[in-house]
Amino acid sequence: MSALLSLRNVGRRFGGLAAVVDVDFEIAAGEICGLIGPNGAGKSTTFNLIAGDIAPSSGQLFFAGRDITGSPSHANARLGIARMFQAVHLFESMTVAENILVGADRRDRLGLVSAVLCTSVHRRRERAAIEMADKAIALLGLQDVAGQPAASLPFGKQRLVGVARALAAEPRLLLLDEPAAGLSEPEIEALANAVQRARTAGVTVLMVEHNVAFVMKLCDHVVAMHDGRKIADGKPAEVQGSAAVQEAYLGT
Amino acid sequence: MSGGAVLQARSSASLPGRNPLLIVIAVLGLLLPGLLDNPYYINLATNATITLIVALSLNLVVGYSGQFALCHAAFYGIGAYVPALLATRWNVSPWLGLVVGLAFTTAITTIVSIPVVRLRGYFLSVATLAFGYFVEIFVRQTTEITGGAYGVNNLPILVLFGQPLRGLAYYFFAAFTLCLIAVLLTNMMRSGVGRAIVAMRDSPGAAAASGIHVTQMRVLAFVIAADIAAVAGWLQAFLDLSINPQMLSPELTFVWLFMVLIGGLGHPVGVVLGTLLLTLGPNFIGAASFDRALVVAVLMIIVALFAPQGIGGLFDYILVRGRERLHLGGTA
Repeated sequence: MSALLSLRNVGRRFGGLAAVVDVDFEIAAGEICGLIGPNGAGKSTTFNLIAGDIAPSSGQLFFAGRDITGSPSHANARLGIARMFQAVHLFESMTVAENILVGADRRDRLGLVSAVLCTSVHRRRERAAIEMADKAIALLGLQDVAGQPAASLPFGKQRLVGVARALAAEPRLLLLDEPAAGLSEPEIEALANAVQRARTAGVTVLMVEHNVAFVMKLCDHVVAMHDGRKIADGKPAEVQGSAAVQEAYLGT
Repeated sequence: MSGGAVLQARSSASLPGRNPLLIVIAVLGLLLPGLLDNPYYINLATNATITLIVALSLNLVVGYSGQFALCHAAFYGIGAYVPALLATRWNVSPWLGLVVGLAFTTAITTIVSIPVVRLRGYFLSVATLAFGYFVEIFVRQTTEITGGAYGVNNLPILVLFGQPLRGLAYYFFAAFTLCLIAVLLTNMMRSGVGRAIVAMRDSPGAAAASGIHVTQMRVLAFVIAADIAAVAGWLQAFLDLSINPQMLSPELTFVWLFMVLIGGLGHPVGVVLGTLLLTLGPNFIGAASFDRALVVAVLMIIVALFAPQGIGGLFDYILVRGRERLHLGGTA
């Protein structure tokens, strides 16, 4: 099986509210997949379930053949699932470069003793992280702002820093939560380029996005949700043309 | 072309850089008391040095890791009591006592911090305050073991390489310990571990999404800070050659907290300045203990109103403004 991520009958209830019901889909390695649907369709909950921020009430999630149902987000991150938040959540007291370095830091082991004593092992790790962060900075064209406090950037630039931080971890799966929202045309262009180049480098992408042009341009695969359920799954054009999707967006 | 964008952008307000000028000033400052021959001033300098160690450790847990813990004196006191009691009651060497004291502090801090770090904000403060009072009351009540309210006096003098450490020798020993701890702490804060600690303070959610085990980093910051405080307590005990329950009193934690807050949370240079101001300052104006509390209170209000980032934040602000002015002067 070439599926990198698969959701099997995943459901999540919040008290009496069923936010996600029996959602089933697969993402193949190397594709760019879009998750669409009207507000309240359960897209963000699905995202949080995959990232590990919340555990499913029912069903199972598999990542690269491994059962990650209920596994916490830091564990999922170490397996290679990186995420960019819709509200970005940069580390505000750090510079842009330091933010991206946090993404680039390897977490296979803590390395406290070697760090405190500043051993050659530590310096090598640090150099590797800096190299990866530099690559992510170059990919998103953030060289000019690398030394600035992250909180001082305009929102659009912060979003790109969030993407760079996620990509610096060299993830296998990149989760983007409404990456294009609130961005200017040139920023959207930079973002689309970065996503495509990340894919070329072997990263699989799953994005929640409302910008239809952006989704149609980038995605090879689209999953549509409505009222917590999956209503369509396939090629972008097929999903766009599906009667269920049109009904969900326009109402009956 | 991309090489070095990160390297150039390394030092920010949150994570310390390596500033040669600061290191020179610090080393010269620490050598200065060597010129003193008045025992009172030597003692004052040693006390200030030990307090600097405590303040740096409190800055780690409160400033960098963002956990407003109020039980620092408990760790400092445990670090003083365990080796002191071992030395006076069982003739254990103070050096071995230090190792046992650190092991004891690590164990207790780990046990206490695992539930406590899951609390947030005021809840964490209240829980740690309760723990601080518990330790003080426990020590006051178990008189047979700890000497109760009077503590223990006749501690042996610390001996290093056959030399008894007193007076100036003790000062230099404390100053060396301070330098060592400062270097190791700076190394840690400049590494991925330091970035992880600051990251989980700034945004726990984004930190977890970057693979940081938030609870683990909280416990780690707590335990390291407690161990450093325990070293300071050990230094204090063998400077005074006595221990008493005031060393574990939460009141002491508040005194240190004011030093860190006035200096600037998460700003090591500011914390050093704040600590020196509050430890040395009152002696130069000859203030008695009540006046001292008054001075601290007024200072705290001034800082809260005019420099919420403390002396360190004020310093950065002036530096940035100065640079801007220079820059404007250059282009005009």
